[in-house]
Amino acid sequence: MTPPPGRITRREFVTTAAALAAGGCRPRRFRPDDFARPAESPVALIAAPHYGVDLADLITRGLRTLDVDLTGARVLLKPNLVEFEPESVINTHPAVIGATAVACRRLGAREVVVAEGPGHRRDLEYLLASTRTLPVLRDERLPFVDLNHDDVAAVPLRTWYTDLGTLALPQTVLDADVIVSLPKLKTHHWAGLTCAMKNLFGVVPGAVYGWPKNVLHFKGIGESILDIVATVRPHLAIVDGIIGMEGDGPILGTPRPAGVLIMGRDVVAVDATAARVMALRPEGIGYLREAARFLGHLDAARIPMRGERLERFVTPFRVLPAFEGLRA
Amino acid sequence: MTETLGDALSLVTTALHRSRNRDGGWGYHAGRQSRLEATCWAALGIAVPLTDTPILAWRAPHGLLVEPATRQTNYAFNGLAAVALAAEGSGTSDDAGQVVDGLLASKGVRIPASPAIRQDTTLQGWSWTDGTFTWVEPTAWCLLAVKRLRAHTRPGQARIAEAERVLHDRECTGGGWNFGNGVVYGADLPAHVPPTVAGLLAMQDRPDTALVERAWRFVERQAPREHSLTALAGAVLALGAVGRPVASLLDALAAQCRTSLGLENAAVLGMVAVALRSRDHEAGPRVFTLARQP
Repeated sequence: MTPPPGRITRREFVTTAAALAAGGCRPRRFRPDDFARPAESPVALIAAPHYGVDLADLITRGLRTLDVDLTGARVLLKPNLVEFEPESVINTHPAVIGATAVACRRLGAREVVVAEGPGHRRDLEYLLASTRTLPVLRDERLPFVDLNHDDVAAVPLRTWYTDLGTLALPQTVLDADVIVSLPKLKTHHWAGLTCAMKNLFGVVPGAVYGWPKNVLHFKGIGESILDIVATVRPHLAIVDGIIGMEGDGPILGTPRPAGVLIMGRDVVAVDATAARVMALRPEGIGYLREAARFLGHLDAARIPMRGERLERFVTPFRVLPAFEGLRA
Repeated sequence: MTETLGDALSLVTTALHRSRNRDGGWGYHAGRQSRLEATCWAALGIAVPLTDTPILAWRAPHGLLVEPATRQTNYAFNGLAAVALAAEGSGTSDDAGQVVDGLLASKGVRIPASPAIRQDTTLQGWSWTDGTFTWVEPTAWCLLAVKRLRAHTRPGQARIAEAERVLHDRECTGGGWNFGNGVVYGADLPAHVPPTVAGLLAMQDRPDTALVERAWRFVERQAPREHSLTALAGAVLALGAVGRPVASLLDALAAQCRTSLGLENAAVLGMVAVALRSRDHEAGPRVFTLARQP
């Protein structure tokens, strides 16, 4: 993909929201009444030292600490499947996908579907097979929907960080009762961090917008993340932080074990916690800081931890030089 | 055609006939909205004229075909549609020509140079959608369409020259193309088979260039490893177009069809059918064939 065109560099991107906030004449980006937030957003941190442990049990227990009840729900799991490199950790591990499906069923889900629309690889048959996701889908009898090629409907955006106004979104996403963002814990060479919010880029259909989904870069990565998350409104996030990626993510970085699953109902709080696990300051990431104005909580005081203590998992992730300022 | 290939073709064409919508088009999956790319590939795959599908009713004033389902112009799929409409018995040269004229009127936008990426950001081929940057796949499909239908015109020649420069510029280290950039922050990104297939089809008229040779070598090496219908079928079409042997790839493709029809995407199955039929030089690759350039 290209960097966002012209007007914005990576460093500028990180500070965009702060600069916008400092200006006195910012245009209205959202209607506050449309976004009710609870006073607190609990996040569960569950230790998972490797992928061979009983992940379904861990995820079920984590979701129970958050009082998640999926009775009768049609649940859509949105993992992060991007690219395949044999020794790399680019994608949500298939064991986490399968275990989350099992956990959702245990919590009452009527139907669980896995859905993704990769922004790089168009050949999903190859991607699902090479990442060994296909056997998990078969074993767990999980239907898979290619969001790049799903039916679409034009949906008015609920916020106005971009000037897109509407976005064609996959019908499967629109029909889901519960959307679970299931990202990999990674650094990102344009956005600093890619986690539960950025993962939602994958719901934007490639057959409409192309590969890469370049319109989102032109409209601003941070701005697009905000519009998409505000419109799609994921209900849950479960982050595969068992082995994350540091350095030149989201593709060319290197594996970094953190041994944790991070989960919560508030994707902003989950991403903020993910950043803290990586020893990064979430307040330094423009789109997170902006999202904390209306979508969720960034302030650690409003994110009570369930399960384990955050300090147990803090693992300084290496970042590119442009993001050294994010270090906690 | 061997019995093996015939069986595979029968499986694929049966699936395509079964998934055709009442309006005569195809969605990417059975029972879904008719879409431009899926309809073009599926129609080519079972040799149905595109005039018997709804796509010509999707023509916008600029000549391009715009899906009612998305209301967005997709330049890559319009490039494919132009080539498909130009196929014998599929449409008229006027149908195809109007699409290409629409393509000639559009360009990917320029962006300022960035130290993050190696490519020449001033070159303008085609973007996926309006108002965005030039990418390999839309440029390749539109280049193929322009070469097929407007190579003799001055605007066509100018766009061909610039689009070929785009493909030279975006080549990945070692040959071939990927979805985006070959190099980001000094690190090489790998080539992918599907974009390289599109690039090879567009550059097949220059088979003796190093660019094309590196690309076909990449596809020959990589496609058999990927075990996907898209990679194998695309490789058959692209390597066939540059005169490389494809018999073993066809066998692998037929075997893959017997194992699975992948995700049963009609666009993929249409491509598979075109590739399988190429063995007997039916409607297959001639659809995509260009005369060689000196």
